[in-house]
Amino acid sequence: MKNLVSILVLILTAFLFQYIGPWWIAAIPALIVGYSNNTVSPAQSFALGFVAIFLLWAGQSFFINIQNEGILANKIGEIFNGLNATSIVCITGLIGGILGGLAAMTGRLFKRSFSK
Amino acid sequence: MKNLSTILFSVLLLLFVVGLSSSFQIGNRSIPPIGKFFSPSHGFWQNAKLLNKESDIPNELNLLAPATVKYDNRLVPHIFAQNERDLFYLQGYITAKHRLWQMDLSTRSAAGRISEVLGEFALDLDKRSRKMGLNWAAENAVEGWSKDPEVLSNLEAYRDGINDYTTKLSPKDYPIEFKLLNYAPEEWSLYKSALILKAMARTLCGNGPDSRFSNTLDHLGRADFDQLFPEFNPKQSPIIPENTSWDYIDKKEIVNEPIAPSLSIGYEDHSGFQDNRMLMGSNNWAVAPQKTADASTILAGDPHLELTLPSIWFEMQLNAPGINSYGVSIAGMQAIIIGFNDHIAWSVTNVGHDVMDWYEMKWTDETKSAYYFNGQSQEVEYRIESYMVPGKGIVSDTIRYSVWGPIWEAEEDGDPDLALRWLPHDIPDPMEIKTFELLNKAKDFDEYRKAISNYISPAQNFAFASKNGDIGLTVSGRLPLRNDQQGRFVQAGDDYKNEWQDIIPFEHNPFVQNPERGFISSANQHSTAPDYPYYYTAGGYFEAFRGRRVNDLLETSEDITVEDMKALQNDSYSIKAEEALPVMLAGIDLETLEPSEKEIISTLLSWDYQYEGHLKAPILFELWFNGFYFETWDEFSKLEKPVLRPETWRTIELMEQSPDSKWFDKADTEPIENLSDIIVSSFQNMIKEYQNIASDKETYTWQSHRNTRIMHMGRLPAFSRMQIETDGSRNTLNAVTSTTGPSWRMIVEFDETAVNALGVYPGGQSGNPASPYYDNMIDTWAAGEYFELNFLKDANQISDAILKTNELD
Repeated sequence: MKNLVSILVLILTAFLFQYIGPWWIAAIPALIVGYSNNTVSPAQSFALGFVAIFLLWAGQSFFINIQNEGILANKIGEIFNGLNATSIVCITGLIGGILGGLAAMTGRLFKRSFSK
Repeated sequence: MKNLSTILFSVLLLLFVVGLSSSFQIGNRSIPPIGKFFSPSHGFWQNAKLLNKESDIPNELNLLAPATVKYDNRLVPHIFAQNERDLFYLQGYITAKHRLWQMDLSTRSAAGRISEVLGEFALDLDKRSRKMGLNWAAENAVEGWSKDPEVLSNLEAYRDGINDYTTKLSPKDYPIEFKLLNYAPEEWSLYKSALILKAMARTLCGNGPDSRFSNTLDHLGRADFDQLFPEFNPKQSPIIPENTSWDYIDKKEIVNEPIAPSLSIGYEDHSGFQDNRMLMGSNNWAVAPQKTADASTILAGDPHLELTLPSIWFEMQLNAPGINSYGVSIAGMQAIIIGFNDHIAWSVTNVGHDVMDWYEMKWTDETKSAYYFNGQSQEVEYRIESYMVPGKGIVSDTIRYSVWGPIWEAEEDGDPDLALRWLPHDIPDPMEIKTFELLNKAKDFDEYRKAISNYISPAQNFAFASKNGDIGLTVSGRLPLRNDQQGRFVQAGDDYKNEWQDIIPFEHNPFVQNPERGFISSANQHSTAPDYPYYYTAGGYFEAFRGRRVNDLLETSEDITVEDMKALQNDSYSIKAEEALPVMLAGIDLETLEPSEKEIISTLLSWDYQYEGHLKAPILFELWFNGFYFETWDEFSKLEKPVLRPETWRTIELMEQSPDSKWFDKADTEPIENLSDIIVSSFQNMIKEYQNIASDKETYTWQSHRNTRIMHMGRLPAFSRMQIETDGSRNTLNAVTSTTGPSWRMIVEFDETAVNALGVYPGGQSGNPASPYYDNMIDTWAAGEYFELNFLKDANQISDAILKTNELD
């Protein structure tokens, strides 16, 4: 339950932060969430951050892609060696996921270092 | 241990963020910063999201009075302003909104600054632009225009509109190409508008093959040269009707003696930036009420240019007190360039007169710091050109300037250095910048003439038609006053006598008003018959076939309708094939052929010379004629120096008139060949070539062979359209080639009550590849169909075509 809340909080804060910050701004809330949720292992923390930002990035791009009827994503796919629109949505989620995972895990590790 | 993994993962996170924030260059490919590019809130996804706002204009603009901007169902903006300042401000703002990256790239291309964003591989392109002095020309243009600050006010308003759009643009909303190449838009300026104009000049009058003519003359000798390179085609049907009297021209006196040209100019090709003059062209014509079915006046025009995405043209309506014009504009220039208003319509085609000459430098010593001019030593001026190349820093290059213009130093030892004299370099009269504004407002023939009298370059044939039934055409632009043959070849650069004698006065430029035949037309052919008092050919380029076709058809047509005009713009009949193919077929002995060869001959025999996309005959003819042409002019193939081969029309003339001409004899064979021998051997070669290229013969047709593509300006195939299926060839009125073609087809009819206009271009209004309006008109264009243009009377007119109205106050 607590993990689900962490994921939802992370998605929401990252989404809002993205309006003002640079592309990697989701790492900041992920670091904080990782730091504060100390009931999980660092590996679980990675998974938590990954899932949250993956869902956010893949979700955002999924909806944009539907609205755009795939016009742009297919063209971007062609630039990146002939991928289709769905793959482009997945890659987007993956990049976000790795960012969120790494940040959440780093946050968790910081907590562990400081709390001994 | 614990601390170690903390440090390790912190570093990993940091590397991930930094790594995905940087762009890389792999070969010629730029890899965008992957994280930033894929971020749904920052990267390319935002460009897809922008479509919701594509027809929204924010109500926070710097306007003097309320204004209205309407968008129709093809994303064409209709701007209604209460004064000219607001009108052109909004034109700038809206053009930037849809075409910002195109504007950036076009100016970078002209200024020689592409390598800044594309990397080192574009450096040579940039160096050529600077050698050509395009940036110098643009500086001179701004200097000239600025002499009368009042004429600049509308161009300044246009600039301010662009900048108000750009400065408020957040990086997430930059056009996608900026994100791919990871850079930001720059401030717009008058200089950049001037660069756009000079880029057009490079395309349309930036080919001066004087060195090729010199080498060719040197190789052939005068007698053979004159035989192979006559300046007029006897079959030509000139733009200004042949019986026109030139009595009104009191020819300007030429003071200086003719001078002998320089010969054997060396190995470097000085023919300008790119020799694409055979590909660029245009058609326009107008018919008077006496020749139309409804006693209406009709004007049609289609400029043939490189087809790109975004398209060169941006369609719009401009309305303010004193002006209500509709047509296409060029991103970066104010006003409508080709279009119509309530009273008149106009369209342009390129003028082939030579405005680019080359002069051989005579240095005083090896340092090349001074040269001889009129018996005295004159110092060169140095211009340092710097290029900011990513990963390489600043690269500098010194270009020497002479009285003629920039000097192209030979790359090969022993070749002469040539100076470039190019009319678009000259400091213009300030009124140049008003040409199109005045034309947009013109109400009759006199006002049209007055507007275009300000026009300088690239010279254009301005076709005209008006509501009251007048038609006309003017060869407009500043054209040099020359001695006979002057400027056809490279000239000595040490004598002022070799300068252009003057500029031909506008009143003496060829023009025609309401000719008896009831129509006017131009298709890049000779402006006049040889009896025009001024020498103007000088190695310029004049098309040999399209002008004859349009004049033939208009001459014999009566009761003309708009449908006829559509058919004429889409006409794919080739006079080249009509003349050459019968001679070629007559040279083949059918008895000796194998069955497969007989089939090919019968395909050609039943062909009606129409370059329809689904046919095979045009492939066969083009392969055959091309092979025949190069076999005939084999003597030119072995020369190392850049030369010119005789034109296609002259080749056909020899086929028709001189089958035993020495030019049909192959240079390196013992027997003496004649026309028939070349026809037979080129036929055999064609059969082999055809079998090699058309492996899947059923589907391989003319349109596959011609392979027309509309490339993205950044050459990204993903943003381009390949293999366009349509009719036409470079010598037909529907002049579609692999990369060029009719870039805007327009037909305007004035009848008793209204202006009815049709138009289409192979692209779309939006420069955003995510938009359905990016390429939505291509299929209509390829099918030879048109859109009805929504020319609104005023801001209150109700129209179903209008999808969005922005009220601005």
